[in-house]
Amino acid sequence: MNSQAEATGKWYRLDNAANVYPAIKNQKRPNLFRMSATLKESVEPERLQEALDTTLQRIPSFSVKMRSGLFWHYFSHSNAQMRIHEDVINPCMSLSSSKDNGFQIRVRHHDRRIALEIFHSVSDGSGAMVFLKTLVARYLALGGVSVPSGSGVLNLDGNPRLCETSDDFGAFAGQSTPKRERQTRAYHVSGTKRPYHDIDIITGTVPVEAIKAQAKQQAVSITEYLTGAYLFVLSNIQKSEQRGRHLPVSVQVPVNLRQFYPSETLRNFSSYVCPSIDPTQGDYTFEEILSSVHHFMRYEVTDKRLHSRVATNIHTERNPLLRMMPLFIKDRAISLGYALAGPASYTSVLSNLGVVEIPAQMAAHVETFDFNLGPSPVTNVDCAVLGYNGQLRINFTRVIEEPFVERAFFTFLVRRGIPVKVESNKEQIECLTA
Amino acid sequence: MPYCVACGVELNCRAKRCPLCSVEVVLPAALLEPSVENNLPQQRDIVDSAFDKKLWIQVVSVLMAIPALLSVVIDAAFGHGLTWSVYVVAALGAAWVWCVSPFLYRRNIVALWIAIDALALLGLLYLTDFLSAFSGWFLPVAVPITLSVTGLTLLIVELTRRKILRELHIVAAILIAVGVLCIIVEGAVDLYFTTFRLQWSLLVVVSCTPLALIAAMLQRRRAVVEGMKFWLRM
Repeated sequence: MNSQAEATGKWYRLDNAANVYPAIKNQKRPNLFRMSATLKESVEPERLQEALDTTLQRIPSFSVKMRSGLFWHYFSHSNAQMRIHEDVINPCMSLSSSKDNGFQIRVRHHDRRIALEIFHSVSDGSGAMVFLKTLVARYLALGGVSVPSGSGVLNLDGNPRLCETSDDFGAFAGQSTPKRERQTRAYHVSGTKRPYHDIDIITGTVPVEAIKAQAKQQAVSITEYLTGAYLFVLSNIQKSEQRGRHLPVSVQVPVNLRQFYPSETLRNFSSYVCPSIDPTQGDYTFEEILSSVHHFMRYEVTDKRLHSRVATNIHTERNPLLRMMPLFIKDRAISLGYALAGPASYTSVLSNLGVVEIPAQMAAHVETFDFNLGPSPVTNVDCAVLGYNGQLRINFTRVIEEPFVERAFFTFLVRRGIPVKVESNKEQIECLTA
Repeated sequence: MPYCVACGVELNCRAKRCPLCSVEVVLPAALLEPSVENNLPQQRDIVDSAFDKKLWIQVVSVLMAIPALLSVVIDAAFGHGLTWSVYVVAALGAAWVWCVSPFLYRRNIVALWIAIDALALLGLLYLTDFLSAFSGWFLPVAVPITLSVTGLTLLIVELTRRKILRELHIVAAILIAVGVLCIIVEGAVDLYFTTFRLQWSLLVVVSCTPLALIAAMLQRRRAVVEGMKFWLRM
């Protein structure tokens, strides 16, 4: 069962990043994220099911079930039909072997929305967005809309290509493996925990031009501006808690490695950086934080630095001792590593997928896209951002009752002259639990 | 389009409250848009529980009922009426309550099931005291000890739930509670039999206190705490 079997598409090794998620997943941390497209017309379930069937034939690496071997987890391809589901108010809950039939993704629909929820081992945000775009394009095509391939929409008449399922971390990794920096415990937002099967999602819609103007004024990128604003409000929240000892405030920002390497993979191919501030050094102004984030990102988000970062992970994966470990011990070792160096070392996640571009024929039928991170019981609040059609959609996922992070963040933008429109799923949750 | 007067953000036309600050949205009747429909999903994803509460209650009930019934039948058939089997049935009844009480409610209210467990224990002890020849110990010994155990457990659980106690601080609190409980046990027994004079419980307190201090100090070492959580799979 090696490269030949892998090439035939019967099974897939988990990529370097994907190996972590099966070891650390549980009901509170299902490691799912979600992407959705809101169309301008109601979704027809039968047509969506047909579109999904065709799309999975074109992108077989998404039609997989998780298996456990003696030493590693792996994906096996399944030809069983993946059924679409009605959308819910509490998305990104853990995958169920009965309802999801062992598949590692699920497709939901409601009214005008098509949503994709995906286990992170299968793909990262960019890969998932290609799948969603292709699915929506196929759905529209079945309705008589001619959508050309390109801009992330795959040609459905073509065959799956090996480069779409390759693990490019190995090719990207450099030679040098710098010593891992010592991880310090970061501040975490606290609040009243909701039951693990409830999450709150608050979405803020911001005109891209307004935030771009503000970012340009400070000579930073939009991601840097949002990260700076997030760090600023999180450090203010910590200050307001009047804790005895102030901890560093750090935000994990995923980085798409495809911008540094000509990869066409639809599997995980991203790394991350963690800009942070240490409140014990004194009170930071927003401008100081922005400057710090800007220079940190310019230093860290370069191909050389990322080569080394990925090389360190590859080096760990190829460690003979780790490879020889039986899976149940390996999972615990990964779990321990994650507990020490995972969310304990950062305050929250801010994942900016960038601007979503689609063919003009398709754009005429798509109102908006959304991107949500799944629940995290450690960070409690995480943020996912994408841009589409001149609007920036900022989605906060929260597992605590109090929305003070979102409020602080959005009111901060409003005070800076950036108009924000806010929506929530909370009202519906209250109605149902009443 | 409504705006939140407190946050300054624009809200959805159907919003009754600001999702950020819960301030009520008050719109003049002329601006209300009754035609706007709620197009958000109404279903909830039911997450499969890893533990089947109903099955557990059924299995425990059957497992407890069989020996209880057997005891009653054997005692009634071969003994002189119901004598020893009353103790067996009462003990199994209390054990049934302890096994089932955490799963009686959909929401797990820890304080409630600890209180129910304490009541079951008190019931069992009262029955034993009432039926035995050597009686009179229920009120002076059993009640204070049971209530102390319950009170200290509830206190630690509540402080943990409110995150006032975390990780190794919980261990320190349990050690201190064990010391306090030993003093209460020895005090209650002493007062019942002779006079109040603390002896062995002080040894427990002297042993537990430094251990509690070590646990409290180790809580400051993050690596130790994370290592402990890993081995306990927390």
